[in-house]
Amino acid sequence: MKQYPAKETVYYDNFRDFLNDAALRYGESPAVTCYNRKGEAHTRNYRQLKEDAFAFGEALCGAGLSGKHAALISENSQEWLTAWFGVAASGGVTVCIDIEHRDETIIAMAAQADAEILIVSPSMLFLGRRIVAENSNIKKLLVTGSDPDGQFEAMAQFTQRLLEEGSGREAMKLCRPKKEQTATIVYTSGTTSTAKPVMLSQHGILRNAGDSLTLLDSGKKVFNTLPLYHTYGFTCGVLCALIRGIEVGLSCDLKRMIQEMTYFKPNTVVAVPLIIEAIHKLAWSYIKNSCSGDAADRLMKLENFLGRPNRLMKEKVKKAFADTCLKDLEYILSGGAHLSEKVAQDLEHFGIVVLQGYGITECSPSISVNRNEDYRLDSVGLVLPSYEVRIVDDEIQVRGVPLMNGYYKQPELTAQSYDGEWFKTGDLGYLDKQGHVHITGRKKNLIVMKNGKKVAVEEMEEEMKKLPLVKEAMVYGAKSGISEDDVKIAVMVYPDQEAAKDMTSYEILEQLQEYVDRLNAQLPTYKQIQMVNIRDTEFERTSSNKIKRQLV
Amino acid sequence: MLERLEEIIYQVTGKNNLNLTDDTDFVKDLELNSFDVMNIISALEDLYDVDIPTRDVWQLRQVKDAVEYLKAKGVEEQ
Repeated sequence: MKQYPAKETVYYDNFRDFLNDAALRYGESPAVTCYNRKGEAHTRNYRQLKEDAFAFGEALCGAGLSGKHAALISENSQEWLTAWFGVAASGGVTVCIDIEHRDETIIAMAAQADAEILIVSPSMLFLGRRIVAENSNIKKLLVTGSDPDGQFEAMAQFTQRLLEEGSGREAMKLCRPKKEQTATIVYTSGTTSTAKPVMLSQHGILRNAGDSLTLLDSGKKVFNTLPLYHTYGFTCGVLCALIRGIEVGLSCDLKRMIQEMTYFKPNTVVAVPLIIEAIHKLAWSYIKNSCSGDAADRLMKLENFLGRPNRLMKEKVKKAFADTCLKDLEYILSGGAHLSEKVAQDLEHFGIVVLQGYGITECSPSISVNRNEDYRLDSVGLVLPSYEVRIVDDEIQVRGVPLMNGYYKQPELTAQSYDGEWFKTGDLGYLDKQGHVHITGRKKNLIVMKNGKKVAVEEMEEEMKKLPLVKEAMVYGAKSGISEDDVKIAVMVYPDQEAAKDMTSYEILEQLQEYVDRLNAQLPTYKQIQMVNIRDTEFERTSSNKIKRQLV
Repeated sequence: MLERLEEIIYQVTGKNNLNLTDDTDFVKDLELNSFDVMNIISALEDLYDVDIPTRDVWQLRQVKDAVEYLKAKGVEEQ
């Protein structure tokens, strides 16, 4: 087996050291670029990235808010990164919140994670106001951009004001972050009853990003399509690139991602299967516009026969992709869910290599990633240097430095998720002889959607059972497309025979649908139940009284 | 507005002859994925020059939700 040397990387103990060193190494090189609606670029270089973060950190120290928990409730933006880095550099903890959650869930998460500072974007200000009114722990609300009513201070104005007062600089020197200390609390998917607040340490996150770089080469420009409140977006989409001095294009508006990508022209895109499939569709449309689809099909078949993807199509693809967002695209980093192999194979013919990785929030998040030189489309790659993987009863278990500090204030839940030093991922898989990790399924009952979102089925089933008409319910992912994760959420109900005795099947379905519609109205789109079925027999159960899901 | 919406959906997804009604559900009836819905909303933003925050997009499930949302933003039906 051919040996490949580890690629160059840098490891840091904490985010203050990282920001200092990155500014020294890469100074005036572009660090992060965002685009506004008019397509105008806003770029901060490595020196400014550090200055912005340190200024905010000093302001927090000056205001007596160092070391506090700050909930970030915002879409992607430059200020999101400034806030995150500023809090981390001044020894605080950022609570990263997925803004797709319902208002009540976000309020509960901020309270559960003991947030004392809120940093909200203008579109989330209405919720920030509500949290301030309901949660007496909140000492400060800051707005990225500005508050049209002028009630709350803008983050930039707060930073400026405190810097002028000048008391923060000395205070910041005293609150140097320690390497093991928690830098962020990130919620896993689910509602407050099932979402777990994961504490990740300063050096754990930095080690994980540094480790990925030993395997990955991503060119000069990386475009992150993912929300920063997920560790996959933050660590893999942004931090990895910044450690290496690469320019990051940050998608700040999901709706305009393709336009943003067209302005940026990345070499690497970091994405989930949903977006990769959209890129695949787009690539095909460019190719069909430029030459006939049949001709492309024939060439691809011939390339398959020769075992040399992108050999014969190279020139055609180059012409088809000229001036589009795919012009310079060489790699797509895929994670969060399973990607159809067909999509990855097609993209390979177009000269775009998909490198699959695997991780979960608790692991900061990457466990394995494919290397550019010996990638495989049927595997999620090689285990990162700081991790060891073992397989127990088909379950993947992980041990190593970047693992989480535990679930916040939930020692029992933390203990349950470990077997000694080994973290139990709940994913099933195996390692092949070359050390490549393969995922075969899940121990936990989770539906994984194409966008990487996970739906805990038991939680949804409990909601269904609140309706007296429902005796038993089973929520599952009904296949709705080609790929494995192309699913819609469906529910199979066994009605309560007493409650349903005078009803026709149609009436039962109608009542169930009405209830589901009400339930859906409270859920984010990806969690909504799209299909309701009834059955006339009880579910078969295992000896431990669990529904035999695979039989349905 | 329905005609314009139908045209936009065609441009974004290639689906036509949709016979949209107020109750048409983007995900359930038209089988669009969240990426398609995002692109459609983005086209509406450009057409009517309004800002629609990403989080609000998830509330726009049916045609009537989108129409009412735009009206609330001051867009007049033409």
